[in-house]
Amino acid sequence: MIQAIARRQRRPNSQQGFTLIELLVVIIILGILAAVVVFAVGGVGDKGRSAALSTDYDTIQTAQEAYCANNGAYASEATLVTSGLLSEQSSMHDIELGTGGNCGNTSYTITSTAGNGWAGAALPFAQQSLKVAYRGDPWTTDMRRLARFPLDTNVNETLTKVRNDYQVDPRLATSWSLINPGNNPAYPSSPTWRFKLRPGVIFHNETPFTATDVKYSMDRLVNLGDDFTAKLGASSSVVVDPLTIDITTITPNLRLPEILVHPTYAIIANNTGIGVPGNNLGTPSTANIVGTGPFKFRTFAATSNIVVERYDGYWGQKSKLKDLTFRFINDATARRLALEAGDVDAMYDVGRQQVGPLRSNSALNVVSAPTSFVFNLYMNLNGTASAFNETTDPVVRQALALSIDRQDFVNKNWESGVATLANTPSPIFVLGPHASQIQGYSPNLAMANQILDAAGWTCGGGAPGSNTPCAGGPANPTEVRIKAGEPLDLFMLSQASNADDPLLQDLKGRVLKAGIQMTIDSGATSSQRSTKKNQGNWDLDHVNPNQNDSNPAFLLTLQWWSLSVNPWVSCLAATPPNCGPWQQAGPAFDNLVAQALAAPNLDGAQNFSAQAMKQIGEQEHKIIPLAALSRVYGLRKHVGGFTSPHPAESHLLWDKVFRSGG
Amino acid sequence: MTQLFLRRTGWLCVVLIAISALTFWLGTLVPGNPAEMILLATQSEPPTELQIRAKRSELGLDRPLPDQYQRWLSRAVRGDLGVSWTRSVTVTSLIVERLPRTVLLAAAGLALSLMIALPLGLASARRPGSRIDSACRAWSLVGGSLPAYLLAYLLILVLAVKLQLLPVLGFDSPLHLVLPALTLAVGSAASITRFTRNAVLDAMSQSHVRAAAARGVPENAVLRVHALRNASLPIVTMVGLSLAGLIGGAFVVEWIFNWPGMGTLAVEAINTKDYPVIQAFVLFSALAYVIVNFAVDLLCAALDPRGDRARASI
Repeated sequence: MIQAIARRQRRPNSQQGFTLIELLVVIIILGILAAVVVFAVGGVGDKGRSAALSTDYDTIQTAQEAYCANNGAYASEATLVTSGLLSEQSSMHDIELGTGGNCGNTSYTITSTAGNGWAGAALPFAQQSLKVAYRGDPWTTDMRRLARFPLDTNVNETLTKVRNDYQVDPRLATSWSLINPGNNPAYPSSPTWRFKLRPGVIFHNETPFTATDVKYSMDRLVNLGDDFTAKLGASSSVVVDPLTIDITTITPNLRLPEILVHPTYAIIANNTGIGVPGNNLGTPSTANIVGTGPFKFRTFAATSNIVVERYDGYWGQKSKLKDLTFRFINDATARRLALEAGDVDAMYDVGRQQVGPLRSNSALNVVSAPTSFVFNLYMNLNGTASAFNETTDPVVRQALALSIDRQDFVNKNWESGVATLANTPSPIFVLGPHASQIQGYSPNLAMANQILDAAGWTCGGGAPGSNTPCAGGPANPTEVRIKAGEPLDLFMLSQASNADDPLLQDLKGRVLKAGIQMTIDSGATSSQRSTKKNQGNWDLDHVNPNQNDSNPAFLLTLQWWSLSVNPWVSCLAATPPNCGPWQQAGPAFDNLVAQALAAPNLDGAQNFSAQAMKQIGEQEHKIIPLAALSRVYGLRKHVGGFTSPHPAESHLLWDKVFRSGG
Repeated sequence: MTQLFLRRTGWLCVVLIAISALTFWLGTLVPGNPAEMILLATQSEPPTELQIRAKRSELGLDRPLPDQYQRWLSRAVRGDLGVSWTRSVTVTSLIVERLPRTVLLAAAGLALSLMIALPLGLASARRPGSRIDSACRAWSLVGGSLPAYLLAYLLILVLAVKLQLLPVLGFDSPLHLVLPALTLAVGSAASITRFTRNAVLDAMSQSHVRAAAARGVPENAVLRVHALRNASLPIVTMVGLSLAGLIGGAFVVEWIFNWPGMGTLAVEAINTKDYPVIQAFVLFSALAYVIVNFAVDLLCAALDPRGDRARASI
């Protein structure tokens, strides 16, 4: 007892209570805990709103599909309410009906109500300036299409215009008709398209728009070798009178009006003197970037931005914006942060993984356009090197297709409203009523394994047809099928920092269940990737091609047609070894494409295009369409009028957009 | 000093020639035909064999390598580094356009890093083993370990998005310089802090410094008059290396912040296989290191006359 008291008495007073350091440590720990709680709880409201948005979107989608099943067509929101499929009209989304879909030739678009209830009244015109973030300067190395493509700044216009449902409308041409072959002696076998031009249109440099400008623009494309798919020649364009022009293609092209919607074919004033060959257009200025659009060119700072301003002499509805700045921001995360910080008012290209976080931000709207591109798996169909010829085997292609549960792939990798299952390499509505020819197919992993086994690609050293189990569950080690000592290893083209890498990893895991190894080339630069593709040193590629014009055979002609100028499809525009027939789909496909291009009307073109897509897709699995994707845009709440964006980014119009005080 | 300057200049020329030879040789290892690449970039039709041969002859690519090097060198010393394969402008014009922006960013980053690192390093050295010293060493470890891209995003998130103090990116105003410069500054400040601490501690342990302290000279005067000058040599060397690294290697920061400097140019050139630009960038980066080190050597000689005679004999 005495010793205990003595011990207590010996204890110095300074050891009683807490020391300063202990207090500091406790305060720091409390601070960290508080920060964790604040950041975790702080987003609850936003997350709830995001969940409500998502649920509302899904509810509308379900109601539409139910109405379609009962009535054979899609319906307006009011009709869905009166039919009892919706309890009330949505305050978060609008429905826009269209044509060309796969339910009784109708389609619908669900867009969030940016600008309808959220943006508020427009600010005075003097304050109508907007900054939009775009993914880097698209004209760093090639200024031939400055201000037009791939970023359309609405400075230039085309003869024809593509609607949201990919039907063609008049624009600088008010009408067009076909004249029998023989009208143009330079191309006697091709019919002539006669375009009547819109009167009263004035260029930004105050000169009148005439047929001479159309001829100048088309001839310039021919000189620069920039004609995408129209097949124009040096003598194709003939001026008939100031408001009439004849265009005759080198080979018959009955899809010319649908093709001319592409921004590449935009009309430039003929007195700008920019017909120079080569890449360099000279110094861009208001003297040589001249169009007829609702915006006129102001300035361009390479790698930084391009600025356009309203054109008061526009022939159509004038823009609500005074000026529009497109800022080039290379890094996707920096782009998103710039939007969140308010440095920009809108952004293109909200990435797949950014949709959720942006939807959670109450200061922002996320708007998705209708589908315009498809995430596809392409295959090397004619590889000659032994390491790259597995996909020439139809059994391997079929097994690959069957091993991927595409609906599950879409559900797992995309937020609702931005992706759906794809059965065609192009957005299906370009096929119009003939979209019904496309049936799609279901995954079948068991069959994939079975057919590979029967073809000699076996696992565990078993004989063909023995069906020895391969990769899969925890009980079985991962195993790749082997035939004649060679593993079934497919080389997937990719590149470093590929945003789609998680998708490829997902696919890799799926196909492995059929005993197919997918080796992903993640370390390549973009130029290395291009080289390998052009030289045929690949088995698989993943591409998201855009549908930029109304020609239903557009992508078919670019990607699989033997007369394509792409070096991974043919050597028409390049020389071996930097080109090859790697993606050519064969004579039967070529025949269907030729018929599509020669069809006398759009319905015929859609019919043959549908047959071609069916053949290379679900019949011969020369391509595996996976996800039909939408362009997604991020907007600050004060951006109004951004409703029903065009599916294709290169046709996005800004003339109805405005800045509000809200 | 004059002798040192002349000797250093002589060695500088030798090193520059060696670098130029190495850069030229690296360019010859590039796969593909440069003549064909140039023709593809400047005309719409694929070039014929005849055109490619003519272009090769025009560019002197059919001559022996030493001859090619001599022609390349004679053009390079006159500022002619060739033409960009993808932009059809001279490489020199691209560098002239971009280099000042990179120098501005590097200088701002260095200035910020010195403002951070020197006081911290000194404070750490004055109280070795103290809590301040531990905190500075921890900061040095963390700052040096953070990858630049992560730091860039964190700074944007906190300073631009959450606190709305600064713009995210761009090139229009002085405020746009702050975030990228701060990102660069943190990394180099971490190492300079550490160096400063060690150099000052080393200097403080010298006998003449301890003698001054023993004589009763105030601590600040001991540090300022007796220790700092000795400590400045390794600090100046470290700062020089940091500057050279900032000028030649700020790829990530320039890309994220859209700073249109040499780093962004290099990334674009690599992506588009624009070898003349890549070659010029390699040469430029090596030159930056060599010239900065040369300047650092001279500065060190001016700061420390004791080694003048010894260095003059090298």
